Amino acid sequence: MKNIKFRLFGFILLVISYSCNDATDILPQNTIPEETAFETVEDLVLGMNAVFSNYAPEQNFDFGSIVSDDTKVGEDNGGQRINEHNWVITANTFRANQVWLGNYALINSINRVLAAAEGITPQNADEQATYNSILGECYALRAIAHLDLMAHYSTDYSAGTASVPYVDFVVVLEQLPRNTVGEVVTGIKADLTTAEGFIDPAQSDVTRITRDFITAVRARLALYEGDNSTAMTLSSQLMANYPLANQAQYVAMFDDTDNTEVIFKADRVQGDPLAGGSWMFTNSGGSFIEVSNELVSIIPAGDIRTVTIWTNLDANFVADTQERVNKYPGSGGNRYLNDIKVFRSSEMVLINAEARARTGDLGGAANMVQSIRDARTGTTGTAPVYNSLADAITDILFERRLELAFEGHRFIDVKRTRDITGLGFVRSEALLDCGGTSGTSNCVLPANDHRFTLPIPAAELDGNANIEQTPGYN
Amino acid sequence: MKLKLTWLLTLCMAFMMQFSFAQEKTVSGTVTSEADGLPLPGVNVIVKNTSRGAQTDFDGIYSINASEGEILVFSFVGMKTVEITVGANNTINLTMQEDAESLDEVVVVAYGTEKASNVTSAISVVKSESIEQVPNASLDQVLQGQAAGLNIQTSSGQPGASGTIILRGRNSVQGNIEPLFVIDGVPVNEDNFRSLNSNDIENVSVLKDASASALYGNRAAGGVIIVTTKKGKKGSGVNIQYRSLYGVSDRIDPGFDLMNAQQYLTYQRSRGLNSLSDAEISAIAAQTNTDWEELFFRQGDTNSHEVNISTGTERTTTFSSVSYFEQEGITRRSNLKRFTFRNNTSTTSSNDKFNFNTNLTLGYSKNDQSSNPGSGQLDNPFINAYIGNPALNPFNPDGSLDIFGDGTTGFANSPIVALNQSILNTDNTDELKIVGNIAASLEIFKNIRVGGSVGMDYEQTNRVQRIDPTSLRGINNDTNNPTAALIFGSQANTSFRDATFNVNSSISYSNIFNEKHSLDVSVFTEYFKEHISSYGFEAFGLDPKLPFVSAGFTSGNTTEGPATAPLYNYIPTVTATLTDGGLFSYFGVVKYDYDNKYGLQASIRRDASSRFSKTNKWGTFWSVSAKWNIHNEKFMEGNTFFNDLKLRASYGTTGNDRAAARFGSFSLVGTAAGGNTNGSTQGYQGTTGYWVTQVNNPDLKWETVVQANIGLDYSIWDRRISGSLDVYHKTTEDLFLNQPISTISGFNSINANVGEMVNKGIELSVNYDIIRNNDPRDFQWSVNGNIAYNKNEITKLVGDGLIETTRTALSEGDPFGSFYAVRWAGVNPANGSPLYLDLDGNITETYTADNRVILDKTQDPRYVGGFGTNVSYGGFALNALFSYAAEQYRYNGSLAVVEDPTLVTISNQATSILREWTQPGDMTDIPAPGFGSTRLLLTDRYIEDASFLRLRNVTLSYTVDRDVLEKTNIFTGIRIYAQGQNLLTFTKWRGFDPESNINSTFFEFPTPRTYTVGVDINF
Repeated sequence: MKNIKFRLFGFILLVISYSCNDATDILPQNTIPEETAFETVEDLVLGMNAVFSNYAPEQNFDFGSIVSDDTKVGEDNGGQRINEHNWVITANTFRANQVWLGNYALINSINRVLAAAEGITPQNADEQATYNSILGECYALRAIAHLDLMAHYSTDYSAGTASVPYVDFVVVLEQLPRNTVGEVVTGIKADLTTAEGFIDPAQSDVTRITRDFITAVRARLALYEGDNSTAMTLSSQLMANYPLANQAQYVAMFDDTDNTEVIFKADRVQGDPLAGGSWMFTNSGGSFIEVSNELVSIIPAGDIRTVTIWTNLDANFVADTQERVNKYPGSGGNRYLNDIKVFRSSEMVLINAEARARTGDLGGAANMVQSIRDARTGTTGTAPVYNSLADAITDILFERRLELAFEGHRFIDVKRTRDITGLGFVRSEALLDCGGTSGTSNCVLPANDHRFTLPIPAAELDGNANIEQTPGYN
Repeated sequence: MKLKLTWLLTLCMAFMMQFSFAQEKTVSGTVTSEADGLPLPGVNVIVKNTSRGAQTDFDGIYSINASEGEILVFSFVGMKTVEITVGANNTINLTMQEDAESLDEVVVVAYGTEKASNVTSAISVVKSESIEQVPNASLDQVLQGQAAGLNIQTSSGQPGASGTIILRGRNSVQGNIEPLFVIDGVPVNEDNFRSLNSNDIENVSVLKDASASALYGNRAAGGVIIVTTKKGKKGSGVNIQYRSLYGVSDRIDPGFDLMNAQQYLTYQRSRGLNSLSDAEISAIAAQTNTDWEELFFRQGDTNSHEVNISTGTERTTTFSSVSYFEQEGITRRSNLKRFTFRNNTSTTSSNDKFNFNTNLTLGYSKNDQSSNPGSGQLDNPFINAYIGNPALNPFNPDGSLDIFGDGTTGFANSPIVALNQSILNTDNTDELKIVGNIAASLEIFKNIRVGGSVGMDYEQTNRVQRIDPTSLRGINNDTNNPTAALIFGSQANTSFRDATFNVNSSISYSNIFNEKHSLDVSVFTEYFKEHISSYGFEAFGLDPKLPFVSAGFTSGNTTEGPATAPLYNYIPTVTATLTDGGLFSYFGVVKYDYDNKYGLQASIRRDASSRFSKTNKWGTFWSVSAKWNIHNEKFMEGNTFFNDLKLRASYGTTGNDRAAARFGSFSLVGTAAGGNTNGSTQGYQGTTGYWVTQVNNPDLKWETVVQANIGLDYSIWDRRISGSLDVYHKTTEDLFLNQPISTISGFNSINANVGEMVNKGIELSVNYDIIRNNDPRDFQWSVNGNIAYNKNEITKLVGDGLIETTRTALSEGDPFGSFYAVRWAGVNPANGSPLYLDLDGNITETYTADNRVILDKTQDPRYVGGFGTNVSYGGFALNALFSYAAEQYRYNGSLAVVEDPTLVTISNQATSILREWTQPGDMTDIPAPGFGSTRLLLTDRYIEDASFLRLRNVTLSYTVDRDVLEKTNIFTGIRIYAQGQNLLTFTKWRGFDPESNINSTFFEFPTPRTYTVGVDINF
């Protein structure tokens, strides 16, 4: 009897000592420890899917349009976005911070995939092709993320100006200082060159990274940094490959059914955010932010852009009195769900025009601008005559405002030309975009205002002792 | 066997002795008890230094042979042993006194029991009498006010809802703050008691200081609460008890008034929101003046039935119970139904060397929950009790309830939406809970015992949330359905299982040397494993005729929209998760006691936790403590004032592994979209992706609580007054906080052991028998009370020493949960503008968040406790328990809504709004409406004193006299009683319930007031 009891206790002790490690060496099951997450090219594909979805060009228009003169307070505004619209911008302004956080989250995810890729060897030609395409897309997206950051966080784009940290490794606890514009530009160019080596020249899907995407980034960067001859050369190349759309194609483009002049667009499918949500309650189509009366008023008669810029139809296509943004009307039966057009040939035309104007070719610039007007009105008109660079820039800016409305350009365009035009944002009191009963009394953001450059987010300052706040926000 | 032999031998000897000594005579007498004067049967009487002995009979009478000069020794359990020398007299009557020493109660301590006088730690005990038949389905809430240092509050009056228990102050910012709950040796979920029957509980030990709890090392940072369930009594035969109670609950009156229809319409007119004439308003108000409070609150019924049977033979005892408990909440669609079953057995081998215990309880409960309490959702009944438009008619012309109103789910229809939701839609949870333990121990050598136990806490819940397609939410497609879906309604089922296993083995040595040195040494190992899994689905497009079953779900293959771009609107969503966790520990304790005067205890525990499996896996926790029973000292002899006086001191550490995220030591990659700032939930082009969801901190380690305690246990004046006094100092070292890191990492903070927090406090408990009569049926009156003071301070933070947490802030040098707000300075009589104080204390009309200051107001109370009284006479007894919490503050987000002039179009308003500023010179506390809403500003306008004093429980009972019952030959005891819970609440708080475990309230489910009557019948 006693023996049996001893054996029982012995057994219990044995069970316990046997199983002690099983209680403490436990791996997560709903997620994967990073060490074992990326082991094959297939894993890298999953990483790339995440990287690409982290790329959110929506941030550019989401913030940039609301602080611009393209918008006014909407009829259904219950306080939404009112602070940004009134230029109350601080280190805690959520939407401004998203530009920083979103792009660095993207860059971090890219750097993690690149680091993981170093340890993975493709097993065959197919895998090699996939592997190369992933590396190419990573480098290309790292370039455009830095370009967007540089555009928003540098007071100007001279080589010596303080810009953002250029990051090509996985940051965890490091606290990085700002780099100069020149250093960031060097990094972007290097990334683009690396990307070019990996991207298959035959890749022509406008929703993925193509060689033309790389060219387009280079063209836009060249314009920003004042490398006008490069801007002209590269934009010409793309203009040759992507003709301007006719009126029907133009409208179809924003319905996502025509790609005539699309160089690159970020694909958006069911489950992705609705672009129209930046200005509207997407269930009803009620606007908290509407298209400014001034923008509506300057669209020439017969110009197809009146259709794509605004509409008075709500979510159920019932007409009312709101001037709501119509660049993202919806696609495939999903209201307000649209691809985000990042590079279109008309931007290349306008880059070409501006580069010409800046190099003294005012006549050439005018012809470029006119080519767009002809395409949009479906007629052939006479090119304008520019008497000065300021004259030309003002008209190009006017055309960019119409052509690229709500695509993320207006805020940066006004910012980077204010040295020539001497103008910041001036909202129209006469047209009731501000003042009176418009819902805002803030009409003018002067050309020299610090708010043309975004503040470093408070969260970054909390965790990074080496970064300096943008002047004006201290 | 041994006993029988001894008896035979004694008899035999006695028989022989009679012939040996001729001078012997027969001495006889009666032994009575001093306390009640009743005869004492079974007293042992022996002649000293002989083997002659006898026992008193049922009438306390004995007789024994002894000669003059011999000494008779009278001994009886629980009485002082008396020696009397036989003289000339042949009759010796004796009155025996109770022995204080053996009155010593047995206290349940960590991994065992101990005599109260030997305990070196701070432990409070709550006994079954204060727990039983309280009409509250959650054990933790029943404990409120019953032990010094326990702060138990809840934010939900939902039957079965668990509260938050904080023992001796909050000791973690991000981690678990609640004590470890151990039921019969099994660690259980401390947030779920709805499926357990509190009547099964024998006693509850609250282990407060490091010495008491360090043996539970890894999980004891918040203290430990040990629950012991009932056992049968040895030799008690079969006892059967039937218990039943019935009661009703209703709401507690709030401390504010809402406008009636007349007032609301008139006020709306003054704000230009209607242009009705006085006559029209009167006409509407005469027709419709809805008191939404009446419609959203109801009287809820409670009833319970229980049968328990306990048996006891010399070697084996059992306790079994079955119970049914049903309680309706005080709002529609809120109730708990519960069935519980318990079987406890205890067996000792005939040689006393082997002990075997089993404890098993099964509970099955069904919990219907009201929709979204505590939220701003318009189907929350408690928001509508405030904001419901009094001019809105909730009745059809035929007098039935109109649950569709204008057919929308908008603000104008919001109270109707809530009614509709509570009648047509479903949110219920079925739960099966099993707590079981098998323990055995065997004395393998003299004084050496080995033991083992295996325990399990198993919880399985199935939750069903269903939006009926014919309900307002269904009709308006106001669900998780895709917006384009044409078939309405949705149903989500979630199954959740948490199975934990605890295996403990021990070896212990226990001995007494030279009658004075008592030594206990025990060594343990413990293995703990937790398996959590969940799975569920949400289906869309329901057929109202086939509720709850998949036959009524629309197929996922169904398409809608244009054939060219078909929309799949009914693809169900599915989830499945798996999580394991575990601990492995070995630990030991040494207890030494000298002559019941001096005691020392030391313990050490090494724990490995799966939560730190990649970093600092092992933690070591220890404690030392000592006691001094001053009353047993020579110099206290002859002292009649102190009966007991014990000084205790302890110091030690405990750990908290639940402060860290479960896999905080890993960098994790998941398929849930983590990095997308645009809000996408999927990979590019609708794919699956790998996101980094967590970056690890390579230095992550245990949060450690270091605690020092000095205590005094006393009883004086013939034990009329007794109690304890404790002073403690508790430091949480390596406190977990989110340390900010550069956002370039893709994250803005990392979990790190960077802070420190201190809790200091004093606890006092007193019992006083004001009137004590020897006859228990005579008048008896006692009072008791406890008070605990705790001061919390954050002594180390990261960064600049201030971390904002909405309305409160963590601030170095201030308590946790200190409110951080701009000081409200009333209303400017000149223009009706709100006034604020700036940082320097100057009055300003300008609000800026930069003027926030740390206020001397915190969410956790400084003082908590309870007090009560017990009065009895004859069969009648009156017991009352008050509980209180003082110096606690909360943001009254609910009242702020009905004092917000910008919400008057969509929400009824408090009558206080009627005194708003209207013209220069008005002295008022309500600003002019033109200044807009101040509700969302970070001011202290609605930070209110939520201190309360509550008559938590009062019971009047009558116990039928035993003599009467004996004649029935059926009953051995009958007790009937009437009981009230939360009958009175004294508070300055303006709302339905000052009690809450959160710092900002917003339309929570208030605690009800309950009246019950019940009966206990013993057979």
